Amino acid sequence: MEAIAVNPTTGEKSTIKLDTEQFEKLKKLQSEYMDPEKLRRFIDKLDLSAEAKMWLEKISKVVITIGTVVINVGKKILELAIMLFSNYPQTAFGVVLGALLGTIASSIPILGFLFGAVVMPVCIAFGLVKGYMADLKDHDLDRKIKEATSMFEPLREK
Amino acid sequence: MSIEDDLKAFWGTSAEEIILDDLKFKYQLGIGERAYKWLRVRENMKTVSEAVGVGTAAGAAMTTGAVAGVFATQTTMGSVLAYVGLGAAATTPIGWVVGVGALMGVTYAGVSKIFESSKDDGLVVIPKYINSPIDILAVSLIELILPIGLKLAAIDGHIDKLERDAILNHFVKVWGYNRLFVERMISAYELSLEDVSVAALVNDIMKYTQENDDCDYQKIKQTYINFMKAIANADGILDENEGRMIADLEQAFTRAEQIADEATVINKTTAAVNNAAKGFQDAVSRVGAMFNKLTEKESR
Repeated sequence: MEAIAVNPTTGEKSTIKLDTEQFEKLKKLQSEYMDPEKLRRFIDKLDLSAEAKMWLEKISKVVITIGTVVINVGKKILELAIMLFSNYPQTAFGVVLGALLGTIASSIPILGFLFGAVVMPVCIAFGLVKGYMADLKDHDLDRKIKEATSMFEPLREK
Repeated sequence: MSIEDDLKAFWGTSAEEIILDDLKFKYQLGIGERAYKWLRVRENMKTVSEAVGVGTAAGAAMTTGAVAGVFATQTTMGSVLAYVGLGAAATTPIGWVVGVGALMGVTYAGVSKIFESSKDDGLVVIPKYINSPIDILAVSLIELILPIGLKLAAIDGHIDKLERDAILNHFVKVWGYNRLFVERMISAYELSLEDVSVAALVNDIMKYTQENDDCDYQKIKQTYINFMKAIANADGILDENEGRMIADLEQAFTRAEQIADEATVINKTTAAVNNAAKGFQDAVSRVGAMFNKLTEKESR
């Protein structure tokens, strides 16, 4: 089966082939913990500029379609970023999100296609001076980010 | 714990919300689209740069002799030009072009202003997001506004149920706060009303809302004064003491604004005096250097 991603900035389309095993694993990503209203409330509570908050909302709308199944990868990334930030509050939210997005975009090509163009503006919007990886000092958080990235591994074409 | 367990644990618990209706809260802040830096820049352009742009374009269209001739015969136009200080410019063909261009710019700026004022009156602009964490701003504002409201309600010795409801409804229905949170805040503050100083709190409200980009001081002040009047009228009787306290409150705002204005004038004057002193020091140094050169020349 085919997974289709449409770049939110350019409108370009990219597709990859997935087997049944990958598809079954991806179903885990379908479980959503927050509706748009709950997400907006969480974003509202963050110490970020209004512009950066708008960026987060844009990210939350990025999806991948597999047949009739829609996987909201953007929202899943935000759910992970907000959870990680709450568990590691000594690290700035922008650093957590930048590290997560950067790791995911660089290791899973189809997500790189979707979020690659977003990583740089996000780094700028969140004031990440040295770049997302250099700003990440917490090794435990680093491990969790790699674990979070592995959730998207089934999206890597075999 | 796996990352999926972390997600379930985190999103499975729900924290108490301070603001339940964030759009009401953001509306009361009165900042509209100024929440966004790029829109602040855009709004400035609409009233200055774009007006000049339209003026110049209109000026280019008026370079034909026919158009200049039509304008030249219109005495009213001459008087309008004189009024905007362009009467002398209108005596030459170039002057006409400058005059018309500038006048069209003025007209456009005027129309912009009309649109702007109708936008203020006819539309409510609420930013989707603000720059502060909403909970922190919400707690700060209720801590500044609520104590004086309670003090006013308790001025006759007790807080009437109607007055308490007026306070509660103001924060819940006007500002969008969670009722449970406001009830807890009321219970906490009503025990220590003797310590509340109207002048000090008014000063803090002014300082906080003027320094915070997410607050419009004038809008919040007006809502605040209306809130106080609503409490005073809640039980149907405007007590003499209540009337006096509202007058004191309005005076405290005026006084705080005057002090802030005086401080601005003092700061500007100090900066000007410092600049003048630096200029004088530079001039003295230059004269000194010239004098030294002259003395050297003379001694040779």
